Amino acid sequence: MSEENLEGLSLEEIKSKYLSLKSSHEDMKNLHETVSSYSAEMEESLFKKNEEVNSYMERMKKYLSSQLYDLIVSGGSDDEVKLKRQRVTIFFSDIVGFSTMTDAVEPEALSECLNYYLSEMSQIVKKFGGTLDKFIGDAIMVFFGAPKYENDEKHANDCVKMAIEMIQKLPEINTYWKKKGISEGVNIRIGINTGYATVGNFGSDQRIDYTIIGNEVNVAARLEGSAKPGKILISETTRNLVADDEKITLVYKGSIHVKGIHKPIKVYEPTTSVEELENEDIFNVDNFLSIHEGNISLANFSLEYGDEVEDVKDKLKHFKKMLKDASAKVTKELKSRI
Amino acid sequence: MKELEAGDSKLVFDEGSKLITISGSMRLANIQEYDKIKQFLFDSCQGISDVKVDVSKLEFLNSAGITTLSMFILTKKKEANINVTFIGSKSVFWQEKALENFGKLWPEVKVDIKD
Repeated sequence: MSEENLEGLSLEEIKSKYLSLKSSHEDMKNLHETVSSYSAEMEESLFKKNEEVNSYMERMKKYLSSQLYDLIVSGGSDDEVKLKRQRVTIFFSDIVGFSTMTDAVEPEALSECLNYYLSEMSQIVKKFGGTLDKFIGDAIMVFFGAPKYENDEKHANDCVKMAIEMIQKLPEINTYWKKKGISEGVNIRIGINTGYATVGNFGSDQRIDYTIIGNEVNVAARLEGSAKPGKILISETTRNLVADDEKITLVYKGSIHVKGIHKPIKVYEPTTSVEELENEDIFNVDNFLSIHEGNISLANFSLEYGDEVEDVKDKLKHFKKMLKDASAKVTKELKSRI
Repeated sequence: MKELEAGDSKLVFDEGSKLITISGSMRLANIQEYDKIKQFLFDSCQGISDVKVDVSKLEFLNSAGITTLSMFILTKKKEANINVTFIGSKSVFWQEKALENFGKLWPEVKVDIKD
């Protein structure tokens, strides 16, 4: 209030104006306090809610693959998890003889060992960016290519490399298992296939699973069942996608028939160590040609009608030498790649 | 019955019981946006000596909203022979403490917090 306004006012009137101003000032002060206190309370409540949400998110992380978790927390649209046909590389593994172990080993020790194994495997899945679909007892199902699709070669490469790293991790897991009293240790078999599957949320309105279904999924599971202990069996489709990767060495294992699939499937095993490569039947012609197609020319070797026995003997001798020389060269090269 | 919808909130004035009910979630952007709320409150309780505002179903109120209700109390405080009662609920997280703080603005304001 300006001095001008006070001119001509009596002392009583000035006093009344002063009291009114004082009262307004007091009201404003109280209003400020009320709103500040309310805001502080809201901030505190917000902070606590944030902590709660973070804690839920941390817990949720354990139930979801890292890819799916990222998709959900980044606010991705539902379209990304809607059912769709997608080319994926599918991985299955299980522990050899686990059912027998459940009868022979203390359940507490076995669950501790199983959790340790699954936890180590999950970390490898995460490292390679796989979508950890589910644990089925001791079995693990992973796929590459959804919900985030990059390219088929990368998915297949990452999947095979992940499987190799899993096999390489086994000695460490074995040490733990043996320490816990499971003398037989752990060994696994792995199957990998690439193909189209239906990907997305399956389930009811009460409970849904983000997963894949389709014939190619069954093939991957069947390959896993056909793999030898400690080995990875991959289909030809996956093999074709990883063929250009120098870090992956594959050995052709022939064609196999699996339950539910009428056509034979050409299968390959990636080698996981130099020792394995040395023990591999490198002189097997099928293996040899499959891992190094084009390096050897068969032009010099052809039996013709009318060849004499001695000619055939000479040609065979020549071919044998050529094959031996070439295979030594290839073995040396393969070793250098690992 | 007079009604006003503002964002996710709803104000209803029952002329029979002389009760103003505010429900929903009041999150208008700023104090100017609250002018229509302020107007509704003043229009509704014009000439009423016993003003009752039920906020027990108001789940959320932002700081511009609490300022508006506080200003309403400070204005009513200046009127002679008037009672103002706020009805709240313990089950709504913000109400117990915030409504009790209205007593600092005007010790005569009545607050009825229900379980």
